[in-house]
Amino acid sequence: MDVEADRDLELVRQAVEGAKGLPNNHYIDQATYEEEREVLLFNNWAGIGLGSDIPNPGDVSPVNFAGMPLLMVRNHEGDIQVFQNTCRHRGMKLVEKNCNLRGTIRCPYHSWSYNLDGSLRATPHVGGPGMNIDKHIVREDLGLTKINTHIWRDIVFVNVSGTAPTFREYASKLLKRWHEHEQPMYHGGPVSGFNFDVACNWKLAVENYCESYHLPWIHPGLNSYSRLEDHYHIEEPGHFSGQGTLVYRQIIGEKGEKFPDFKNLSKFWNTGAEYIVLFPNVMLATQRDHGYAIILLPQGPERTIERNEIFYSFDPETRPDLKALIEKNSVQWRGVLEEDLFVVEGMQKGRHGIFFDGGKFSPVMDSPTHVFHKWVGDKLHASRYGNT
Amino acid sequence: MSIPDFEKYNQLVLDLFEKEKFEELACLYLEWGKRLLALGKLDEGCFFLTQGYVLALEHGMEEAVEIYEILKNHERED
Repeated sequence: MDVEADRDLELVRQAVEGAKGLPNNHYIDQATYEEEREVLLFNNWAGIGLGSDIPNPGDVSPVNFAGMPLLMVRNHEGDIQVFQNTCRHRGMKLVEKNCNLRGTIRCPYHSWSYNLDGSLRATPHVGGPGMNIDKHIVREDLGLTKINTHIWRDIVFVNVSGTAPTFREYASKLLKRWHEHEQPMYHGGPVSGFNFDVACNWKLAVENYCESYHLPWIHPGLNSYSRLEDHYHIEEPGHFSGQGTLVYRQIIGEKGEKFPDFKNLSKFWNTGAEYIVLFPNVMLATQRDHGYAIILLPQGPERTIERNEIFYSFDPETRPDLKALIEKNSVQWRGVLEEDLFVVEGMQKGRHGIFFDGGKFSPVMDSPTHVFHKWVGDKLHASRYGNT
Repeated sequence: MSIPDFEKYNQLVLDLFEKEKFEELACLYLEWGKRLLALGKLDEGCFFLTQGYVLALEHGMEEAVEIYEILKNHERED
């Protein structure tokens, strides 16, 4: 790393009053993107998809996670495991599209076949035509590469490098903060999931989500009941940041219907709601009656797929009377979240301005964003030089 | 047991591949492999049985067990 890049990071890692934001190369440069891919996305617990993407035993779903081919598998016992989506023989990508497998995962090249637990089951003709064994091919050593996997709130988290602590340890502070919501959550069905293909670096989506400073300008519809002064910062350096509101109002249907609340919540949640980014790439909402997750899937330095998924306290299959309200809620959230797209794409364009220096934070209003920048800076510094 | 017309058989294989009827294809390979084994053509028979084995495994077919046993008995499978 060059001296200038190190000096930039030192500025980012300062206290918010004196700090600068991450400079342009962290948003537009391929080499920096690749460094961050390893240090920020692969070395930590990142979201890649949902358990409900693979609802049935035998379902498999390939995911391109920042260029890394991964495969989510629900085995015949119903458990989810993620593997590298690459055959151990010649490196062929194993699965190209979502499907249900009744038996093994067969490589489309030479048909090496894997059980859904990743073990190598068959190596056809490996010792010559009709000879499927060879003393040099030890199947026990050639299973699919397992990726550390954890499911929380139906989100499939992975730690690609295998170097992070357990997910429950990694996310312990957030789990503690939201312990009242540690109860079943149900995806709202197809209408409750929608994607945005956004021309921005994935970190800009995080930065925008963390802070409430932009709300009066970008989401003017919220001003009528959720004023800027009703919001507060949420900051847990090294783990997550975000914002909360004290005036959350439930959505109401045409006949006055509401979503049922999660069970046994304290009074705070009557009007409280929190919007937090669990670093690196999962943006979460927790409210009395529903929540959502936005999973950021980086596609390169300047492109990100945002997966938006809404969850409820009840199984929508059991409440057909709430179908219309679920649809209304989805439309409403989609509208709000779409309002942010021009912002993150605009910031991306702005970062091609060669004189932009990373930006100046408001110590009062931008501190949750700075918590994220400092996390990035600290992780990169530790990766380059150790924890100094 | 005689060997069926190879051209006809080969065309059937291509058709089943084309139509992605892999379970039928697995059964065809199994039948063909058995016939060849019965004629003492071990390598050729095991070749076709292997083809059928892989497809039977992929599609969760019970024939996979039968084919595995045959291959194992001929020391072609672990």
